[in-house]
Amino acid sequence: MKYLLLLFLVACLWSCTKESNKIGEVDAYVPVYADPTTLKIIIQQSPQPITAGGKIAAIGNYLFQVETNQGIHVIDISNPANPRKISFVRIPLCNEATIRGNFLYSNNGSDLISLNITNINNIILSSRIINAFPITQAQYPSKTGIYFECADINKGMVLRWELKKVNNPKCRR
Amino acid sequence: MKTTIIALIISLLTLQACEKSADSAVNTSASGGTGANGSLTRFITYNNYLYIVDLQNLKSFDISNPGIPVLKQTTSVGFNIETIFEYQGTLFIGSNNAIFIYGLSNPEKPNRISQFNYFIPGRDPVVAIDSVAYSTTKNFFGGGGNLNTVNIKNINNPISMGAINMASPNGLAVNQRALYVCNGNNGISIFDRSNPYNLVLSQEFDAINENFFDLIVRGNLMICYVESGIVLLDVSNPLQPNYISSIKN
Repeated sequence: MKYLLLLFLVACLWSCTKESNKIGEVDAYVPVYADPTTLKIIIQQSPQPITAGGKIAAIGNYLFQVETNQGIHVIDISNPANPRKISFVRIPLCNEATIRGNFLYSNNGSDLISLNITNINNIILSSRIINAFPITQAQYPSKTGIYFECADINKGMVLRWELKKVNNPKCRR
Repeated sequence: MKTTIIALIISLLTLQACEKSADSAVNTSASGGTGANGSLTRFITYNNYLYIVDLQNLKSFDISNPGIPVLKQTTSVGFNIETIFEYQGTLFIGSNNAIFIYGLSNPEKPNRISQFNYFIPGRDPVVAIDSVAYSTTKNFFGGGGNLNTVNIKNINNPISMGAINMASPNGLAVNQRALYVCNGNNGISIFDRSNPYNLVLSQEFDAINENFFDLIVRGNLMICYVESGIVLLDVSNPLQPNYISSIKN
């Protein structure tokens, strides 16, 4: 019973707690929504800065690092003393990457996608399975002990969170 | 001398097993073999299958035609699932309250073998080698967490071999000699695995000021995912990692 209670408490903490206390203007995270018209455009680009580095996968001389919700950095590690970013594959709402042979599997939001990486300089979308990965993109910021503006599911998927001054933010975690 | 040779052969075999991909993929294309993943991944491949976990389910996809995965099975596993790891045809699925162990005798339809429940729920990745699994759990309250050692000699009945308290445990990787655990801003904790069920902290790698989330160990190269990008370390001496380089921004 104690265990159940603990679980319940954890569940409460884990989900965002809505509070309507009047707290005035405070620092809070504000959701930035993905643009639905370009959400499914996957394209290889020149190297981009790593700003929110994510999960990693490696094969042979190449390392792939997810840029959380933005895409995948392609990094040449043939000389570990001098690793080089060689390109960036734009994949909105991307969080995962794994590789087998000439294919990299990833997610474009809730779609499972495969990319043909045979030619590392010409990475192309090979297939897409819509809604195969129905992971809820976090509808809250990763940090805890903060206020945030509650995400509105009708506005689309949250791409990232920006810290701003907000008057009486409704959500906190 | 004889033992040294045997040990060398074993380590070579082990290396080769982990490095299936490397040989065939050292040329310009990234072709051949299975890639390596960090422990925080939700996607892995094994033979001709891709396995992914969402919050509740394990899905298996046939990738015999690798460019076109075909969904074969959706298996309900639990809730708040976060990670998947494969070792010798066994899947270890990390969730907030348990490690779920699945067999792949039918790779299309993974079967539940057993589960290991955490006494204190946390968020965890899990890795396994030989007859032992290691996982980290992050406390929901008050920060900190644990590194858990689980005896899986009898895969049907995983047994806790104790937990080590850590400040900020996260992703982890293992080789024959050592267990590497990301410890957030504190660096990487390196544990001696001479006795795999009784880890001994060998050292904390904190030579560089980074927030460590996850890592991959491939032969002598350790690839770390840190908050600001990538850090590469040399682990030719498994218990004494040396900084090589990093990519920032």
